[in-house]
This record gives sequence, structure tokens and C-alpha cells, in this order.
Amino acid sequence: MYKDRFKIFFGIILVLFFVVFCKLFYVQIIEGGKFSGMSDSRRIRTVSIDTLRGTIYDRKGSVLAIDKHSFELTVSYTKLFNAFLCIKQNILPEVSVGKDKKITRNLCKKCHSDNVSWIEKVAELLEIPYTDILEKTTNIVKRVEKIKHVVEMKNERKIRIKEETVPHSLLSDLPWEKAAKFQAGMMNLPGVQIDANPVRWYPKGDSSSHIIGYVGKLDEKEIHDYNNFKKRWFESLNESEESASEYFVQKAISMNSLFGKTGIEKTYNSRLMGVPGEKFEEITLDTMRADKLILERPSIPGNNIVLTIDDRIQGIAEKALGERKGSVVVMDPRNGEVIAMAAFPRYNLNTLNEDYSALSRNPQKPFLNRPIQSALPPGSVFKIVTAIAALEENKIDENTQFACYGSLKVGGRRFRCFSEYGHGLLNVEEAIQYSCNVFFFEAARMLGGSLLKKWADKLGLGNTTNIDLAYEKKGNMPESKSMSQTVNLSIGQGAMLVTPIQITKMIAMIANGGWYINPYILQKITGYNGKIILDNEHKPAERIDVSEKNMDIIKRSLRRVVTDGTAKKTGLRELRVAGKTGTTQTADDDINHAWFVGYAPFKNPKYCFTVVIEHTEGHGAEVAGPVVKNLLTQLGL
Amino acid sequence: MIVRLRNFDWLLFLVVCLFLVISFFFVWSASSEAYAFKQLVWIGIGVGVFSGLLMFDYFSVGKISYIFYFITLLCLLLVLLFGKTVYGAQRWLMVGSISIQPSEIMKIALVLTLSRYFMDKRSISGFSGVVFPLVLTLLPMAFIIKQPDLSTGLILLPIFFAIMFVAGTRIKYIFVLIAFGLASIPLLWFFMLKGYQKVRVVSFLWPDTVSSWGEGYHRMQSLIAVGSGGSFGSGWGSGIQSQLNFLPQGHTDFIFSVIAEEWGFYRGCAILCLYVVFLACSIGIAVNTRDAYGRLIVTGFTAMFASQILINVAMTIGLAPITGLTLPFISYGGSSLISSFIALSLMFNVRMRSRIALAGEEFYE
Repeated sequence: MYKDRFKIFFGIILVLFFVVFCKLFYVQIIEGGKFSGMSDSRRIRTVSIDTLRGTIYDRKGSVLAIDKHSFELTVSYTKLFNAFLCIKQNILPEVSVGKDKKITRNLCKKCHSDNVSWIEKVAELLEIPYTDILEKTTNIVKRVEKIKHVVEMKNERKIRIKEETVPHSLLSDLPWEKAAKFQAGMMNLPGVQIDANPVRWYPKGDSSSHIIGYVGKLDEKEIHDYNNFKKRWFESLNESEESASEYFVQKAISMNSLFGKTGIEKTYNSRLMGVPGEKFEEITLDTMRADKLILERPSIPGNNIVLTIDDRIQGIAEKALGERKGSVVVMDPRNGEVIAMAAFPRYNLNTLNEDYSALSRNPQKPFLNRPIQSALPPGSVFKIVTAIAALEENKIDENTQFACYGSLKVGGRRFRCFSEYGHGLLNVEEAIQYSCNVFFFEAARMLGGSLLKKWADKLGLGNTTNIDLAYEKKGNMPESKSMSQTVNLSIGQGAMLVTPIQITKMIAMIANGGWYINPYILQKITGYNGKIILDNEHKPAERIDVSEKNMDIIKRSLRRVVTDGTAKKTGLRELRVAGKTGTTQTADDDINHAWFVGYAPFKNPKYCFTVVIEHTEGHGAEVAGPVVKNLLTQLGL
Repeated sequence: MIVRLRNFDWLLFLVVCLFLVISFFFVWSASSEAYAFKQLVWIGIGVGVFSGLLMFDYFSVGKISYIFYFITLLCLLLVLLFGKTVYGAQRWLMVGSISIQPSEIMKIALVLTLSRYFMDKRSISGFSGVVFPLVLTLLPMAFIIKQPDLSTGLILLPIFFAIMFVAGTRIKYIFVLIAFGLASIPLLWFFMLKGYQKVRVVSFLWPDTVSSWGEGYHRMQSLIAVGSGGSFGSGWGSGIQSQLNFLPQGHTDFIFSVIAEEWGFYRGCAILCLYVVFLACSIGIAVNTRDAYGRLIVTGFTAMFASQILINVAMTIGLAPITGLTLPFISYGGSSLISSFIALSLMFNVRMRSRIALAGEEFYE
């Protein structure tokens, strides 16, 4: 009996296999062309749906960068082509034979006036010269026919190319009013329509342009890198929602998608980028009309970014800096939030495309985000580090005095103090106050090169701060090999290079009494629906091991700089500022970098700041001081 | 007891070898060379397990089948409690650094246990006789579906029906069971299935109304891949869908789409025919075995292979919902390959140890 049952069993299997065979035949042979794009009549096509890039806000909620719609007039190719034939009558025999024969043979004004009537209407509604549209139409058609000709030559048969099936943009960047007027008046013209495309818009123009950064298309290498990412992603394919969206972000990468190239746009690119939608449609090739929507995934807008930047203070900082090459950084010393980060020269993000070539040739390097990318010797500002190092390593104390006679001979070389006749006997507070070089030479001689470097490293100089902006420069903190080099480094000269943000970080750690902080610029990330996705609040939790007593000595001296010292004449005393000036000599005589680093109010500081004016003729206090005064007055301190 | 090497089924062996060669090249094409060689390692391990198991008499395996079954059941329970979550489902159990997938072992354990039960029973006299094996099937099935792994869970059903059918249960009972099964579908729908599993079923039944992009997307991409293969395919390593990574999991679950795209309809059919030959050979073994236990084992495994092959291929051509079932001997992956080899080994075992004596007596000696 069981043998019969085996027959039935095998019979069931055979029947099921037969069903599978039939379906396979159907999918591969009968419907095959539809899927592979080789079919003559029907085809599956995928269309991507545009999405919006996230908005960038400042801490108070004013918009720094947003995707806005730009209106564009698109016309289907058939319409353009027919109009073109009408314009030219029958002088296109060799380009498109099929259509040519059908249409041009009996082309008469009476029957075919419809073919050009839309042009008149468009010209009338948009108030654009009639000839302009004619010219643009001709250009588009000629271009497409040329491509078609090349493709057909290559394949030696007639082919319908992609350009023939999509609408072409005739006019772009239409003002909103005209677009609306057109929409209202253009009800009965199929094939002619207004499309809204997202365009990045920066309401503040050139303000904070370095922080925001610009977007652009990817080059081939970058696309390749992202495709590799995609491949890796597949190998760890996960069913959870989160990584699925990550995958579709990567999938959206094509020649046309916009990517952040610098600044916040780059750092948080994957957050800002929306997920484009996608749909599968079945189309009939004759009419190019989608008959059936097979599948659709709507697009998801990107996340919004809220920065710690205060747009008002950023404006003040930029105005205070004026048109001098340099940077101004304002930071909250209590947690490391960067409140303003101004740089000059800047570029205008809205007109970047037109200005790009001029900007990139500009010797002033406007693309340099100076607060994080301009590595300069810190000069006398570095004396703060030397003082902390010497105090902490117990090489000196608050009463230790050195005598300054205007210069000091170390290792056969004579190092000068800027006061020719010397400052006489000074302790550490007075040395910072008057910015006496010789005192720090002596201190550095006792410290030695490695201890000096240890403290510079500890305070974050010569190393990236890991602020969330792309392409931060590291600077340079050399390990001194000889005593004369150590002496030179102790006053911030020599091969030492730091960025303004590093100096700001250092002064912040002094201002807050020795808490370790890291500058950052992202406050939070919100979803397109306003839900907070990530709250980036930092609380200092770790102390740099500087004793409170020594910290007080430094803070007292920084205040004395402003009340009686090198910055006495700047008038910052009433603004309750404490700080340190610096003047760095460059290879050219009389050309210096002027620094002013400090914080205010000197008790319980709310802001700390760094001002650097690069390649200026004056000295630290006299050039950077007024900038600080300007800045703090307007801040309302 | 006589072991005859000439009873080694060379045709079946050859067919399996062909599958393995195809597997090597298409895993290569669908993912990378590295994966192909990893697959080669798994094949090596699989062949080792295969020949190792041939040493043991399948009766000795049969004797401990109930113990084996309960241990595996326990493992399934452990997976639910402490399993490692991969792809959003708890299917793996970590023992040291080795991860085991008990649901794969369960298929084998169930075949052995059900065969044992029906052999002991000899004839099913009343309906109560099928209740116990039904419980034996449904218990692990519930655990596996809960993991959630709907497809592996449901694979246990054809195994159960095939063994029951061949063991000689009255057709009436089988229809009653099927009726019960249909009646309990709403129960399954509301209490057992997870959201994404429901979506898969819906996207299969009514593809136009699909709401979840992901499921419909897999289906669509697979269809496009298979469809663009045409008659002769685009050639090995040059399938647009598979090479450009449009096809997710091309080297595991969707390997047949890659084959269909790159090799086209005729060669795709040839592979399906090979599978038919494979199944015919297995049924041949079952028919020619005089011992009821061996016959039932082979039947169970044949049902297992047949349903896996059919469901996997049907899924890639849009005939069945997207599931996580692999194509036996061709899909990449150690777990499925080794469980397939174990099943294959037991089938060969039965073939090589064709018994003259009736099984029962030897079993209880």
C-alpha cells in the first residue's frame, strides 16, 4: 500500500514543481522584457521622489540654512519637439526620420498652430520675450537629437532614449508670484507644468558661512567610497527600522544628490540628508504614461540641526572683527558651547556658485575657517601655559622673583624682552601682567622642554579639540630638544602653532576654574516633526589637575593685565574683563599676529573669547583690544 | 546487518555535488570571492559530517530519538529566553564561541522522532493515534514561530503530513487535520505572528496594497532580477540586479534570483530539474527500503527538502511570501548547509543499510 502513497507523494511534488516552472516561464520569458527594459510596449520604471534637507537653526531658533522651493517650468519633450518642427518647418530630415516623415510632410500652419500655441501662452503669462522661449526650445531639442543620433549610430538601430521620455526644464528660478500666476492661468495645457525643486537657501547670507558650510554634488571617487559603504552595509543587513533608513540614505547617493562639503553641512550630513522616496511604475512606452503604480515609498525629510551658535552674537562678533583678516571665537566656559565663531574673509553662501572661481583664487583664502583652520604661533598668550606649568611642577611659587635686564643669554644666544631696559625684579603675577619675556625664559630653563610640552598637551594646545566641524587643523606642539629652543617656546614663538579654538578651549578651562571642557557646536538634533532625537548637552565632569591656589594666581594676573598691565589702555577694565594679550612676530618685520584672549566677567565668567587679527602692523592690545571692547560692549557686559 | 558500499547512491551523490559547485560559483557572483571560499570551508565541514555520520547505524540514532528531540526542544526554549538576536530575531544559541541554530536541528530531530513513533505504532487505528505526533510537531513549531521564524516553523508541517501519510494513516484523518489547521489560522494570525510577518503575507496576497516598502521592495527587486534574466541570462558575474547590490541577501535567501538573472530561464530550469531528480532519488530510496523506520526517515527528509526548495524558489519568483528559508545545498550559510548534510547522510545511511530483517525485532533486542 505504501508504494501507492509514495506515488501520490511524488505526484504532489511534481505538480508543485510544475507550477513553479510555469511561473518562472511567465516571469522570465513572457513578462521578461517588462522587467529588463527591453520590452517594446511596457516597462517597469523606478522614479525617485525628492526630499528636503534638514534645516539648521541657531540656539534661539532663527534659521541659518533651509531648503526652499525653487520654481521651474518643465515641458514634455513631445511638446518641445513638435514646436521645434513648427518653427523650423521641414529642415530636419536626417535627425529623426520617423517623426519627420509623419509630421513634417503635411505640416501646415492651420492644423499645427496648436503645437506652438503653448509658447505664446507661456510668454504672455510669465512676461518673457517670445524669442527667448523659442531659442531655449531649439537648444534643448538640438541637444537631445544629437545624443539620440550618437546612441543610434552606436547601436545601429532606432532607440528611444531616456531624454525623450522626461520633461525638460525650460525656465528655472521663477519667482513665486509668477509661478502662482502661471499655475492659475495654465489649467488647460498638458505637458507644460511648474515644478518645485528644493534649493538650499541661507537667510543670513555670508554670516557664519564657515560654520554652516556649503553643499555640493559628489565627485566620482566619493560615490565609489559610499558604494563600498553600501556593500559593507549589506553584509550586516538588519531587519530593524533604524538601519533600513540608513540604507536608503546610502541608496539615495547619486550624481545628483547634494552633500555637505564643509562645516556643519558635512559633519552632520547623514542626519541632514533626507531619505528620498522611490516608486515603481509600469508604463506604456507609446504614451509614456504610468498605468499602474506598483510600489511607492514616500520620502522622509532630513533631521534638523540646532546649533549652540547665537546668531545675534555671531553678528556682533563679525561686525567687531570688521574687514580684518582673523577670527573671533566666543564660548561659554562653563560647558564648551561655542556661541560665536567669526572669521574674515568670508563668502556668501547664496551666491557661492557664481563666486566660487573668484573666491578660490583669492590669496586671502576666504574658504579657510580661520578659528579652527588657521594655525598660528600663540606668542605671549602661551605664557599662561608656561606659568601654570612652572607653578604646578613647583619650580616657582607666587613669591619667586626673577630679574629682567632686557634680555637673557641662553645656549650662546641672546633672547630679548620687549622692554629694552628690562622690567627689574618680578614675581609671576607681575610677569604675566607686563608680559615679561625674561621671567618666562628663566621659568622655562628650570622646567625643561618635556614638562613644558606636557602642560601644553594637557591644556589641549597643538592638538585638535574635536569640535564637530570638518577639517579642523591640529597645529603643532614641538618637543624641544635644546635649552634655547625651550626658551623660545616658553613665550609661544618658534615652531609652535595653535588654532584660535584651541586657545579658547585653554582659556575656558582657566575661566571655569579648572574643569575640563571640549568645544562643541551642536545643541540638539530634531526630527522633521519637531521631536528631539539627540540632546547634545555637555556637563564638565573631569578636572585638569591644577590646584585652586595656582589657578587663583593665574586668574589674578589675567585681571591685572587688563587693569594695570599690557591691556591697560584698552578700556576693558570697566567691562570686568580678564585676559592676556599676545603679539606674534612673523618673518616680515612690522607684521604681527595680534591676540587677545580672555573672559568676562572675571568673577563667574559667562563668556570667554579669543580675538586674533592676522598679519597686522600693530601690537596685541592695540589691535585686538578694541575688537574685544566692541564685542563685549554690544554683548551687554 | 550488512553495509554495502555498492548501495551507495551515486546518482544522488553526483546531483548534490553539482549543487555544491553551483553554490560555490553563485555565492562568488552574488557576494564576493571571500564568501565563496568561506562557503567552500562550510562544504568541507558538511562533507565531513556527512561521512562521519555514515559510520553510525541509523538505528542507533533512532534509539535515542526521543532524548534528542527533548534536548533540542529545551534548546529552543533556551533560545527564546537567552538567545542571541540577529536580524531582529532570536534564532541563535551561543555555546562558547559557536552559535547554534536549534531550529535547524529541530527539523532533523522531528523527522527522527515522528518516524520512531509511527514505526512503534505500526498502524494508526484511531484518531487518537495522530494526536500525540501532532503535539510533537506543534510544540517546537510554536517555539520557532515565536522566535520569530515563521518559515522554519511551518516547514515542520509538511514533514509531519508526509510521514503520517506514508505511514499509512487514513486519509480521512489527514483531511480532518487540514480542516483543523485552516480553522486555526485566525488564531495564528492574531496571537503568533509579528507585525512584519503579517506584512509579508499581506504583501504577497495583495501586492498592490502593500504598505511596507521593505517587503514589497525585496519582492520587486527579486522579480526584476529574475525577469531581466530572460532566456539565456546575462552571464555569470554580470547580472545587473545582483552585481549592483539591488538585491538584498543575494547570496543566501535570494540566490535563485541571482542564478535566474545570470543564467536565464533554461539553465534555471535545469537546476530545478536537478532538484526534481534529487527528490526522485530520495523517494526511490524510501520505496526500496523494506524497513519501515528507514522509509519514514527518508520520507520526512524528502518532504523537508521538497518544501524548502519549493518555497524558496517560489519566493524569488513572487509565488510565495518572502521568508527566511534557504535553498538547500546552494544558499550560503553554515547552519543550513550542515543540517542539509546531516539529513542527506541519514538518507544514505538508510540506503546503505538496507535490512532484510524487519526492523522492530532488532530494535527491541
